[in-house]
Amino acid sequence: MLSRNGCYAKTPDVVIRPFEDWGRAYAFTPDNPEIYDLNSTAWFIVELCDGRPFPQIEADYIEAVKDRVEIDAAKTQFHGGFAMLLERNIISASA
Amino acid sequence: MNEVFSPEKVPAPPGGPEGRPVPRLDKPFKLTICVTQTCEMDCKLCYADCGSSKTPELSTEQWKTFIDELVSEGFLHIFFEGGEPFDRPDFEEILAYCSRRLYVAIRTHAVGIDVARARRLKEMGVGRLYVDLFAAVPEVQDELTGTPGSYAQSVNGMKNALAEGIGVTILGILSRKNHLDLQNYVALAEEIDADQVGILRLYPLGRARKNWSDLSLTLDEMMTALNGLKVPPGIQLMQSWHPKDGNCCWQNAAVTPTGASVGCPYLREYVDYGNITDMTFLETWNHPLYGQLRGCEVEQNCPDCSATQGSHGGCRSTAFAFHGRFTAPDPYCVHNNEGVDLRALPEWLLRQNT
Repeated sequence: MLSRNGCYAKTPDVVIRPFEDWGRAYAFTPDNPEIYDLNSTAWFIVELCDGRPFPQIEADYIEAVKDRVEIDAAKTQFHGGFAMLLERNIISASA
Repeated sequence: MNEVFSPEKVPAPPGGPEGRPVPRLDKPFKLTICVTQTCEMDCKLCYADCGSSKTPELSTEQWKTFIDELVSEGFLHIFFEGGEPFDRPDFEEILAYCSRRLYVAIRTHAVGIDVARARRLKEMGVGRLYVDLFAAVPEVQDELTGTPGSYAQSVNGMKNALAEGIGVTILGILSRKNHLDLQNYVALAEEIDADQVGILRLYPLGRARKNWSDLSLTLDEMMTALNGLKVPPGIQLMQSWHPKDGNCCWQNAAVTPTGASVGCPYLREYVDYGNITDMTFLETWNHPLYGQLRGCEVEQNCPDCSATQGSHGGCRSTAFAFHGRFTAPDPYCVHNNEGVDLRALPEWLLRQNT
């Protein structure tokens, strides 16, 4: 479950294999064995999740896309992607 | 973000048909290990013509060394098949070595998957079983495997895996022995709560080639059987005929029980890119013929089929089998068949039976 006060990072043992030419990455989740295809948005969010608090990660995402996406749309995009990554245990709350 | 897929739904990458470059990988992310050529059954459709092992297979330590190499090269997904993988006494040890490092799927007849084994597979993180049923009619399956009771045991194995939460895909190789009963596969999936059914083409390899005249169908018969299938919501049907006859060579990698890198298990009788005990896998990946096949150089192309993976020409194994050229059209696509009678194997293939 998302906590706005929580800190988030890539889940330990999740393996990310980038395919830079395609602008996407695959993620292997050993806890619930699956391979997921991450589009560039999802992949970028995973990269931003380095153990910092949620608001900082959100702010970094919006800052990075502000020239191309309206702020409200960027927030929606970010929250949707973040929730999906969390649900699939590709990212998780960190200590 | 709406592009999160399971491994069996790898999407078409940029590139592909209509003048765009075909998809290209510097190195693959998934690989098939045909871990053994042994099996206790005597299946008429066996591509490996397996029985007791005829040539020395890679040892446990050699496979472990190879798995280390795959992990260090960024592979994510390993697919085990045989022979029958579980016939190899050290197979679970090899699986355990992959555990949590690679996504693992296994092609098996599932006969030996009892409750305890299913539990161990779950604990080792096995993601999915692909279970061969040559017919979804018990007596026909038992006849085709040469093993009385094998149908019931396979279904039991699938149920045990599903009970542990391991995904199951029921595989049926479309042949004269099952084309009138294809709906039974879907019914079985519904009955045991499996979420995928794969209908596969029959390849003229191994024992299946020797039994070709008894097993093979015309393309019309195949299409009639496939088009008659009714698949309810909740069950995914996988098939590789038009309009889904993609050329997957661009992403395929496979190694035989003796360590030969062959690109795809269905190419095992036609190519050899080098042995992984003599060189790294990526050195075999750079073999000129491997590169040529990944480049999807083909004489003609079906745009609908190409769109499935962004690559051209359909399956290279059946194209080569029926035409003797790796650039030939795949006769299993209705638009590329060009009058090829799929019941009649070319002379050069028939000579391999003698």
